[in-house]
Amino acid sequence: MPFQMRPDEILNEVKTFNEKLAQGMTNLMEVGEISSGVTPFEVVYQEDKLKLIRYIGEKEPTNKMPVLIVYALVNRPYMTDIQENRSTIKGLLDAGQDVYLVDWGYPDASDRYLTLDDYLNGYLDNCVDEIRARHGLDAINLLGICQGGVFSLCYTAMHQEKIKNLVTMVTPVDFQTPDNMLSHWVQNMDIDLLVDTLGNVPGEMLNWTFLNLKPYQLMGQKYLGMVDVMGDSQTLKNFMRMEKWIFDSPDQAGEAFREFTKNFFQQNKLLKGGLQIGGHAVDLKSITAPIFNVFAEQDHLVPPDASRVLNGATSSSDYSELSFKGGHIGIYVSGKAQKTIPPAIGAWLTERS
Amino acid sequence: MVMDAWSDNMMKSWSDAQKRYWDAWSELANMGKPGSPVMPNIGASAWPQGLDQWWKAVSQYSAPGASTDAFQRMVDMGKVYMNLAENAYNVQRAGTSGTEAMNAWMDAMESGFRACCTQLEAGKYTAHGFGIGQAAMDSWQRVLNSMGMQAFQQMGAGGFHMPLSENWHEQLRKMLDTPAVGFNRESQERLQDLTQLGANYQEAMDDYLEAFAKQGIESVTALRARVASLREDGKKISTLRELYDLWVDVNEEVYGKFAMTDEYQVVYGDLVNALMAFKQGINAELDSAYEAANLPTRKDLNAAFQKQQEIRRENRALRKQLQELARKVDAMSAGSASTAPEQLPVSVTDGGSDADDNQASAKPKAPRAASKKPAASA
Repeated sequence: MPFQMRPDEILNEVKTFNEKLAQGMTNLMEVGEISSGVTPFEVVYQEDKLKLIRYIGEKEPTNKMPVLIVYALVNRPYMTDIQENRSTIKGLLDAGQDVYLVDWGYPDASDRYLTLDDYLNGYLDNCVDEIRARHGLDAINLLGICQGGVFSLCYTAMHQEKIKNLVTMVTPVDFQTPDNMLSHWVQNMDIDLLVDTLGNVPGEMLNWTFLNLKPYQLMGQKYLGMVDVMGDSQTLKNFMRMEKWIFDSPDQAGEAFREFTKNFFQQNKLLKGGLQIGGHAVDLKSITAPIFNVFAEQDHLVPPDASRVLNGATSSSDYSELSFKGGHIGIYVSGKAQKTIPPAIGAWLTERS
Repeated sequence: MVMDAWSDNMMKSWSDAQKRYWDAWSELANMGKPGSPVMPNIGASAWPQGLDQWWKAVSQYSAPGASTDAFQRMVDMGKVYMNLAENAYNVQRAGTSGTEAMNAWMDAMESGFRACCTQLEAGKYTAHGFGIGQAAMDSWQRVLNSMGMQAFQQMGAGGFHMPLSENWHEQLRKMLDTPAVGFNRESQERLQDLTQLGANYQEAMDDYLEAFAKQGIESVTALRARVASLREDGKKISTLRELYDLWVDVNEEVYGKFAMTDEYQVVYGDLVNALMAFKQGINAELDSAYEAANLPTRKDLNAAFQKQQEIRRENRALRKQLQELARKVDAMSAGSASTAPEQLPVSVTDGGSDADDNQASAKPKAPRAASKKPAASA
């Protein structure tokens, strides 16, 4: 008989739950300020709301070819530097890399007409030029994350001469694999109506969408599980860091959102062809740089097949990939990821720089 | 986040009270172990309500913030858990066998979802009764908040439904078909159009919820199959938490399949599209009011933002041209310096940056006009 709970045991569980919740509230009040990133950095360039930051490692970089990390517009980039012992940034610095990162900032109503052309051929291009100038280099390394990986691919396709090596992490290339839930949902949405109505798309709306990918786990079970461990102050603080990041969702500049959703999710133009950004044709076959493609096997946002298809989609003769047994976030924050991902990227970049 | 009124003493008092409360329940339950004469009965929703009341008392001493939000979610989920506990407790205390108790619990859940479907099909809105999926339903309200539509949350809670009418669609259609006449004819027509958009959103919301309720029924069916499988394998569910985790697992699995169906694609898209159309109608009405008051409208602001973006682009292009010119001038200066001793004047500066460096340089120039270098660190 599977169902064997005694009433007194049920009451005992409930009692324990309430005790943990009360203790947790006490600990929660003592959590204090939650940082947004842990590695020291300097801002080396600013334009509108964008900041280009350079991380300061404990030792000088051994690779003289800097790497620029391009994060997504959704969520904030401190996921890559979430806590002392869970930091992709720190891992890359330790691997001898000179690490820069584009922080896109928080768009407001005045940014609603920012297009992908503004983001890529404006902001990102200026960041690349700034780093090239600082280091006296013709080309630098680029590392794109998720949507930032898509941007990196598009940018490299348009400006191949400025990119020496390209790393993509959890980056969708085929937006219409059969297991892509986000893509499936968006096919019946009137994106023009959405953007014309809202202007910028609220971060809350995107959050709602992402949480609905696994609603029972992400909006329920996770919090119940947290009650079990919130007696431990450090675990609670780590949980709160993640919680802060998850709900720290910038609004999306309307026009860029319109272009991205229609061209990539609805029409899959990055893979199928016909993509135009500004006056530039974006053709993956224009990419000749060495590519290191890193993806997660249990990624519920970007299915691994959406990334794998990059193999053969470009003209690069030096393509490698790394498949990580974890999820979309775990690839940055799990203990296992710290030991494998940044060292592997660092070694790959150093070998080719 | 904590205000002065909050103190450790208060927390301790609450903890002690909680302990006494649950100890008392446990003692009663021990008395009521199988074979004992007494089994305490619980009033409807007593446990979730207890947690809710505690949170209401505590949260007034906390300022809004990430911690409070997270704790609110824990408490919300705690209430769902308490509800599950209460149901499990009540079926067990009835003294039935494990199988009967489990079946009774699953029957009750299935009835709940069927009741949701029946209500929605009858045109009576319900946003409750979704069990552990309730958080997903409730989070939609946060989306409305983020769009400044707090005042219209009731749209998703029966706003256009007429609870006393069995045929609200028909009643509403008659109202909307009434010809607008008189001095305010145009205004009446606009409001009728807006009402229609609101009704469309209500319908889309109903369809979305009904699809979810149907999925709830499927989840119960899947749970029955999973329980049967556990029975065959000789496995047991001996804690409330195991039951909860199993229920989440089954729900997620059923939802995962449902979310990839054409049906979900349609109800999801229709919900968002209907909300946007409704909001666009509201925006237009607001703009009319602003215009009448000689205030800037959304349209005016958008025109200004669009112009601003065009100017940004022009500036960016000009900066690039200036950099190119500066680079050429630098190169010319260096060339001249090698043949003539005097330096060329700097013709282009970009914000006092390194354009006054007359050294020839093959390296690319950065877009300094926009750059500032404030010291910052993590």
